[in-house]
Amino acid sequence: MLPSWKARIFCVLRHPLFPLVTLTASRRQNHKMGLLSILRKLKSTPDQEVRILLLGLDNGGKTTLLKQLASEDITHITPTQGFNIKSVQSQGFKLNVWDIGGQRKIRPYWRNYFENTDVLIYVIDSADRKRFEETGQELAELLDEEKLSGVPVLVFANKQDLLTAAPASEIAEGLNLHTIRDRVWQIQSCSALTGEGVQDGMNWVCKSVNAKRK
Amino acid sequence: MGCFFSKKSRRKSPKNDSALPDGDESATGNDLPETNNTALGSNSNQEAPKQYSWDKREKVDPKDFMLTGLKNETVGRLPGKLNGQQFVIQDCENCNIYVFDHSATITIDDCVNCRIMLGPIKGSVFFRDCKDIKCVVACQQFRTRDCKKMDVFLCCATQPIIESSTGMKFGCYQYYYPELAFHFKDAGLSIFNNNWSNIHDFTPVSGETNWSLLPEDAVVLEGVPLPDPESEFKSVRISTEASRSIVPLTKGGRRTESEESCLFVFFAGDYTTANARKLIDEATTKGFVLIQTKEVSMRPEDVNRVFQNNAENLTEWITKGPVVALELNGDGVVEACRSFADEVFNGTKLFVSESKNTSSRDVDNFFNFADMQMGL
Repeated sequence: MLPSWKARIFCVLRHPLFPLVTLTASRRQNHKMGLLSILRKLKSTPDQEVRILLLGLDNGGKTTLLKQLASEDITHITPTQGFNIKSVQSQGFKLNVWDIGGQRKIRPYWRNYFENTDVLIYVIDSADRKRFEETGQELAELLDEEKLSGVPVLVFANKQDLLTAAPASEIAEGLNLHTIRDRVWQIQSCSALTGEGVQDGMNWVCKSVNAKRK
Repeated sequence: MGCFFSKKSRRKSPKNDSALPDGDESATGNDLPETNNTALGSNSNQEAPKQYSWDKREKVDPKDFMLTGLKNETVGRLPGKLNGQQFVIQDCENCNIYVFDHSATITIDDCVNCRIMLGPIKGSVFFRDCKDIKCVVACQQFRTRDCKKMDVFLCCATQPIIESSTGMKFGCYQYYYPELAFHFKDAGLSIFNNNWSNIHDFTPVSGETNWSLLPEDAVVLEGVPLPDPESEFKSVRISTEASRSIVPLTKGGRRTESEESCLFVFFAGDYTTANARKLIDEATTKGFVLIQTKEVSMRPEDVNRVFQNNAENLTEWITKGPVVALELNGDGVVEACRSFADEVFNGTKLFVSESKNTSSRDVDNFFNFADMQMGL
């Protein structure tokens, strides 16, 4: 038989309405934060690391973008045979960017890199109209992937420096981006070669990570 | 706690539910869920308000930069008429195509039985679904997909790649016209960085090879003839003679007859290119063979590793600019190179292998370093 004071506390703690009665909104927040920090400790990476997957057709400009993000020389880039990975500091985050080769033959390997992706960046050659259908197809398949479900996607409409480049709005329409309902997305026109537009896209990436982690 | 999470989801903006409503077709993004900051704002809604340089520039008709659906014609661009822009070639048959200018990037789609000369390309050249093509190409990246039977006289700054292509043959770039040297400069390509003979195949087939090297005596003009003298290109004074080629002819991956090689490095100066060409002329006249060349920047820490015992002065010399390195091959080449250095290049900042005992190590050290430097 418990002493009466313990019995009273026990009754309160066991009461089904206990959390509603005792936790105010701010305490709910704190409680939530406590749970999240426990969860974060269970994850292998600290909470300020972001895993970014960089995909798109071959010749789209993924590696140029990667080098641009890392502020490295972009005048001598070779077609990617496997993958490249770089870590870049941005707005308080450590971005681990995985740039995977996009040749048709090696796209089946993309799925090896899906797990734990925080943001998907999909790069399109805006000046290669002949391949719009193909790139739209690949993007659609990615958005259907279980392991990428809910992952925010940034579409870079790259190569805007080229004269025949289609504007981002035209590409968004062609890809039916407006029908994406299961995740947040953004299309950003850019030139990975000159750097213009790249930072704007990355700002959105960081915001989307912030939003997801709250 | 069940009540917990449902309260949380009720607090979220309705747009973040799994059934987000369709956005406007002209939208450039959808809203992010509420954050502690204000919502993402104009960046993610409707039209992006920000103006970029491509929004402000004069609009052009893409057709002016395309050759489409031509048959049995001689077409292209004269020097100064493309001026670094993008170019697109598609659906051409039995055409002679000459692009005598530098460009940003070129794609060639669905062409059959064409002879194509492409001036220096700053970025990539990409052949897709082409058949029976003979071409002369200088580029940063060379790519093919679904192509069949191509002879390519190539100058490529990085490793060329092919995919789902067969019957691909490669030889060293060999071309001259008066403006070509400038076009190389404008495209940011070095005449000394030419990986024409080591192709990466994304779809190798066991038991077969999808690519091979052209015979050493392959004649460019038999592949890509001079333009019709009645055409608009008659003013372009072309030469395909080996000695006049803007890009030095290199043996690349072909087998050599001699075991003896020599490393010759010119450090940056006013006449580096001219000196390198002079050495090549002298050496080839004497029967030696140029295997490969590289133009690459070096840092002080690279010097010791690459030049080992001979590194003292060189650390200072590499700060002036990229070096031009050459591998020459033939019996007695080291001795000959050392004579050249003394007689012809006296006073020029250079490095020559000391002896034939150390020269192959010099060559390996340097070109392994260069490959590392120029890969990612």
